[in-house]
Amino acid sequence: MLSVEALRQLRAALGEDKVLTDIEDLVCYSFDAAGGLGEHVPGVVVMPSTAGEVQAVVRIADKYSIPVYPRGSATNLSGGALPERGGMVVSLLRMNRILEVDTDNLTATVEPGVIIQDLNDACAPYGLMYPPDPGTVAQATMGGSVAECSGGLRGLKYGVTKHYVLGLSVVLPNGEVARFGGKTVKNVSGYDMVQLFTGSEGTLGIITEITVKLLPLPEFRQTMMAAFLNLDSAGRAVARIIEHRVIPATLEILDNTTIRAVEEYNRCGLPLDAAAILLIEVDGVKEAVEREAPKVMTALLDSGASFVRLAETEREREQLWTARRTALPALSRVRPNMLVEDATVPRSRVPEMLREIGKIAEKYGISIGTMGHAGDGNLHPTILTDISDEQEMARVRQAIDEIYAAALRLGGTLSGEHGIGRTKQKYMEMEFSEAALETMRAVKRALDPKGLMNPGKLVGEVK
Amino acid sequence: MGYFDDLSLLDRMLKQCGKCGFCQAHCPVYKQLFTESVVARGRIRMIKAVRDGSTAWSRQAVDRLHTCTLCLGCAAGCPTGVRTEEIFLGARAQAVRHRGLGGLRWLVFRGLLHNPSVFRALLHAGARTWPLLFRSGPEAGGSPRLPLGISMRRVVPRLAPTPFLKSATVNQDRGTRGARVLFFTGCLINYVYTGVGRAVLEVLERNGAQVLLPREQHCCGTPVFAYGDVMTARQMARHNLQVIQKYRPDVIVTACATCGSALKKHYVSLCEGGALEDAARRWAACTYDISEYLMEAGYRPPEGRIFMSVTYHDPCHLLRGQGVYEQPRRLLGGIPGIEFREMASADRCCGGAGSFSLTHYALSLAITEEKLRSIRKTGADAVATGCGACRMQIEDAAHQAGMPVRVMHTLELVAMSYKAEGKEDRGDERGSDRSV
Ligand SMILES: Cc1cc2nc3c(=O)[nH]c(=O)nc-3n(C[C@H](O)[C@H](O)[C@H](O)COP(=O)(O)OP(=O)(O)OC[C@H]3O[C@@H](n4cnc5c(N)ncnc54)[C@H](O)[C@@H]3O)c2cc1C
Ligand code: SF4
Ligand code: SF4
Repeated sequence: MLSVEALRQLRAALGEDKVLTDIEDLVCYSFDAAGGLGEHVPGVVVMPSTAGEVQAVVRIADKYSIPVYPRGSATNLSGGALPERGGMVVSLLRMNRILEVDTDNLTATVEPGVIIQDLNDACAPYGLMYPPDPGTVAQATMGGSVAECSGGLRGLKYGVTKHYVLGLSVVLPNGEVARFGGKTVKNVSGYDMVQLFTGSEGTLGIITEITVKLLPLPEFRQTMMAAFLNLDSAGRAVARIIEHRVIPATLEILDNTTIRAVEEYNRCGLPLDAAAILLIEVDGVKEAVEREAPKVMTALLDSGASFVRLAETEREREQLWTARRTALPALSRVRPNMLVEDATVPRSRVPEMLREIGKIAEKYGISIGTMGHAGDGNLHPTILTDISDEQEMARVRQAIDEIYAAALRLGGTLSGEHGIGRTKQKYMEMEFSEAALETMRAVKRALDPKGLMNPGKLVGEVK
Repeated sequence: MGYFDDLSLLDRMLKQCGKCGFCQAHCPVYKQLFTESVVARGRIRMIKAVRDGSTAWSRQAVDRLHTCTLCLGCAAGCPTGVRTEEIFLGARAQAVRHRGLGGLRWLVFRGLLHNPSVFRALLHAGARTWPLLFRSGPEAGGSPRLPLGISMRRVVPRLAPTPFLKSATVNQDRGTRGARVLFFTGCLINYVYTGVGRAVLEVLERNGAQVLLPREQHCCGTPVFAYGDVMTARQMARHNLQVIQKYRPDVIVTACATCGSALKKHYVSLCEGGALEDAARRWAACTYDISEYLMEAGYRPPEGRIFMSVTYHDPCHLLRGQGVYEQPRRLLGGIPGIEFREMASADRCCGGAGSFSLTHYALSLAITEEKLRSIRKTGADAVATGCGACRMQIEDAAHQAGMPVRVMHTLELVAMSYKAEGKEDRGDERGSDRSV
């Protein structure tokens, strides 16, 4: 429970309408997009609209020892925004100004509540883009995606969020503001704190300003799709494309369960007998793309694709993308709930990983559709279940354990882009040595000695 | 039992939300307020909290339920297919059962709308009392002289001196061989935008339809069930269905997105399990928006030139409610001389949403400002649309912003073009879009 005095001070600092205490509002902040972690109602939600207001609320929290939970759009899939100890949710959505699009230095500076797509819309007139594009571009915030170091469909060629963040302003747990990095691509002054805060999941401070690098919009693109009767030939195709020295912007894979769900959902003519489908898009300068697309086609055919298609028109491109775009909606309709996992392996191990996932699904008698970014090895085994069915959920939890174990065994990592949050914490010891974990805890302790900033997430409770 | 009454259905629908947050990108209200309780994902959670007893149908809960334009943006953007409209309508009905209607609404819904003839009499009288209550403002209407529970800045359109249904006469010679088309006008066309009624009649007759114009038709009932007064709405639906039964039309056309949605969808749900369920289904299947009807039944494209640049606003209940997108654009594109300019985010809610614009005036106007920005960018002379409530909202906001743009029904432009046939280039063709 929050003390009356703390609430009074919050209201004095922000004004009545930016401090929510009605239960009808609070219950709406008891979850994020991760399933199966229960619901946690916060004591108060504050909606600061300036960095100064963020400082003020963090100071009040520090004074009264209130746990602080930064929150963007709460679309993360790892439970990072859950206010597990009640406390104070700091919603950053009202800090949503695009402060600058600098066309000389190719950077943009934004407040954390800016939606990724809105930044892209602001850049497009200048022929520029901000490449990281998680499936939630139209709703996720810049702050949340920096805090998660989100990836997306273009990771293979364009990298992920951390490759674009140049500068950050952060309100630290003690209420001070620190500024790191700047507008320059090159910057080696001091420790690389920008990279530390990128992906810190709100555990080290609240990001209040972000400067990112922009790239020119690609002028041309070509899109292809291929189906394979077995996983190995799909894997071979991925390897061959890279052997041809082509780096597609998009190189996505859908497994058979996903193909069936998509076909059931919107009959777009996918081959139901295919073990996997690859969706490939190459983009860039027109001449280069026109040289690369045939190479990709050759690689696909040489690897034994049972069919290949190249989009000749924008309409055909849309048709090819439909399968990928509707994969999640299609899967989400199969059962009441869907748990999207994030296991990531080196690119060459993708077919093996898919086979492992298939075996695990069979072993536990559960349904898993896998799609993912085959190009960068980031797979999303998506478990279709009913979280109110305790018996099934017990099996689901075991299956998830095994999926992560398999990913690590194959030389991969727990999370490619969704973060550790709460869902993957228990596997951290499998991936990291005690020395590595202790280093992380030391960082947390140093910056947040009282353990009030998004407590319990990523590194867990730190004493 | 449909979603208006069935609580176990409500609970099942609530469970379908996967909390992905995709609805946020489509919610005009959330884009203004940024609080979770006004977007589908949060509101669903809040309704659950009421259902599981964490809270009651408190004043706050009801406020959050109604801080929503029912634009269906969330439903259209939901990858899981959560039926947000049905959830919200069901929850509003439940809230009314628990809390009652409150004085003013009780008076309007149960006292007036419940009884078609009382309602008609009052609105007829209203045309005369209008100048007493409202200062006359722009050509469209005026703002209140007295605090009427309406914001003093709100421009309220003038009631037509004679309702459309009272003055309109069907031309018996024109279309005696074509389909029997019942024109369901709805309140805004009957009492305010009577010019739209005349335009629809003109266009239908020119295309050989036998138009049926039952004077005893009543308000479609949307404002009533949208607030949650299912009992009165059911009564109104029954009345209208009985009127339709009596006339036995081949098709029913509407020129109001909201009436169309009511006849096509909501009447079926209101009548589910009752004596009129079959009738509701039967007539729902025969109901068309006028643009949809012309495209499907075929029409003679008008040939009179109109020199105007026109953009189009998609009414929520036409686009997402009825899936009508291409038809009005094709109608406009088929008018000689009109330069059609698509606006950005034409599908975004205008913020009107019936009584929402009275109860949440500032919020609704803030949403409309986004729409005005899109309109302004096109530089078009006129905005066409297919819903009286949208028109009222855009007219009001444009007036407040001092924007000279005209707001018209798509069919008014079509009718204007027919009327201009044979006449030489009338550079500044201005249709009589209202009766004053
Ligand atoms: C259907 C679906 C598809 C998705 N697809 C992808 C995908 O393709 N790639 C991908 O990487 N992710 C994906 N995600 C996950 C999620 O959308 C991203 O992680 C997103 O970037 C989170 O942004 P948000 O604004 O919702 O952040 P939130 O969920 O609100 O917050 C995420 C974390 O950041 C912290 N935080 C938020 N704002 C700040 C701030 N200003 N300062 C400090 N900490 C902060 C929070 O405490 C939390 O720990 C998907 C999610 C869903 C539901
Ligand atoms: S888009 Fe649908 S499933 Fe996702 S949060 Fe909104 S209502 Fe729930
Ligand atoms: S109906 Fe419209 S206003 Fe209401 S929650 Fe859905 S998107 Fe928001």
